[in-house]
Amino acid sequence: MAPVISFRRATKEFPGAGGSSFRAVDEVDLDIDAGEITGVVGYSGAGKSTLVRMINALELPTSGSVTVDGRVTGELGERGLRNLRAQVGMVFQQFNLFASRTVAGNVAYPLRIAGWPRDRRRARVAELLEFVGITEKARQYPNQLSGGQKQRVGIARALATSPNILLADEATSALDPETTGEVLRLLRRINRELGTTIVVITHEMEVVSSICDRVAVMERGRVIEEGPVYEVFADPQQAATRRFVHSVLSDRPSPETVQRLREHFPGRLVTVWVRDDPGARAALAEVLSASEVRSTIVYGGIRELAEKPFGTVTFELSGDDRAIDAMVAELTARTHVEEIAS
Amino acid sequence: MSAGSTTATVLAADWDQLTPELWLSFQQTVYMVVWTMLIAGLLGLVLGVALYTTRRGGLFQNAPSFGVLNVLVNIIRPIPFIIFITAVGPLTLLVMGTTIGTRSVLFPMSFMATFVIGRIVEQNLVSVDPGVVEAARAMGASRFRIVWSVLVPEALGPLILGYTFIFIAVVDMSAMAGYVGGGGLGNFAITYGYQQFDWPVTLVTVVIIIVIVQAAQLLGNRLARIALRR
Repeated sequence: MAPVISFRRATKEFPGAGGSSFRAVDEVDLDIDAGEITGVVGYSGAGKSTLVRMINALELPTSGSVTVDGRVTGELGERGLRNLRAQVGMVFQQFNLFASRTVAGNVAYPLRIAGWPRDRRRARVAELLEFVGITEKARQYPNQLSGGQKQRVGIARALATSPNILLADEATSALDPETTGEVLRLLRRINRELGTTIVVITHEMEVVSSICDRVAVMERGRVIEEGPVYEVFADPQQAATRRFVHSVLSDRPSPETVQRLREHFPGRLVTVWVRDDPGARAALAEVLSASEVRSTIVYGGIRELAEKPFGTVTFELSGDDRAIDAMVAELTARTHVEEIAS
Repeated sequence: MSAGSTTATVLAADWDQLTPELWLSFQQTVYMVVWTMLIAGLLGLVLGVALYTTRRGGLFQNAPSFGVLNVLVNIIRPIPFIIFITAVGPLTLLVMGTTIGTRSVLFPMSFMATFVIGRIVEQNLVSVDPGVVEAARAMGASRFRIVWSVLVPEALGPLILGYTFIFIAVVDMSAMAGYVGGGGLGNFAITYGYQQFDWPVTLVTVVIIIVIVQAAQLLGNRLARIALRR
């Protein structure tokens, strides 16, 4: 399948102070296939927002190219850009609803731009509000709604003209956990039922783990790692990706935690990675139950990521040092192991 | 007029003559203020939108245009209006054919008010959330469309209050315009009140002006509240 969005050495420079320039996006090569949900993750300032805004041509590359639906954004005129944007929906962290328009008015706005006649507009707005589940709020103004309701309106507005690409810029970051779940389920449903390609910017692991098929990790303007969510997070190749995974998952004890653990568990502390490999997990249990070494679970947890197990468990191992060495070697043969204190 | 006992009769006689004069002055003031508000209201809106959109990061970002407009506003706005009227006299003559009369002062009044309104409109547009403009751009709205369908409606409440504020400044201007033959309540108060040492005439004029201003403020507040009830 041909990618619906392609970045080729795409670079975006912003003029900085004193004639210098700042590279927000630096020679990015990235393909996004139709119908997938891709997460763009990274620390703030990594260039995620600029990268995503290059898809709907709110930012044009200063060098390289971005191709969306077969159109090279840098080659489009004002009219071409407007047509492209009308076919790429976008939802925002702060919702960005028109305070002067009702819920129905907000959702109708892109249809007005597209020149839909009044009666078709009305029918489409009703359909969209029904789809996102806020039909009864049609006549209210945005400031009368809760955060979750506002984002539903934002999503309905973004979907109005049936775009085949939907961009979500931290769409759930301003919402509480429960509402986040609702909005994520809605995005998932849009992807499944309408086949919409979705690109989400996020720093929340929950967003990536619950809806993304693929993930691109950004650092200082570059996409340093990209691939299926499970592969990237279960086996990060780049130090920055590892850092990100650890910081958002807090899947291994921090130095402070290690210190506290140390007070009660003076033995050797070993963190064992648990991944999607039932054979290895069974083997781990066997190794750990070896009689010469006493093992105590002191930290960690296993959760699901892309519907597969993912996590770490930290053990205190005590007993004969050589036996522990042998055990660690055996564990290492089956999964990633790190001795964090000895 | 020196004897206290005759003052009352003199005043009573005065009002018989003055009332038609006052009514005419009132009409002249309304004429000057209404036309200035219409002309400068529209031109000032255009100027304010131009200032806002040509600034850095604006929809029509254009540093030279913004620079010129900005400097122009900063030069013209602080000139005391009474001096401004005489300073643009030659231009007024060129445009209106005369520098005297209620109609001709519409030129300096609209000129000055345009620049004052321009700045106020600009300041009110700055309060519009840039995210909303970005959302409209992301939907493929043209830049002109964003101006009239997003920027102005989103800032409508503050804009109405801004225009109300300007209305009062324009009433003030119209009083000074009287000095160069513009007529109006200001001229009336000076001619029949101040110069005749007839304080009650001045007072009556002031009360009328206060009533006009209060009515405008009341209407503006009410409209703004309707616009903000969202």
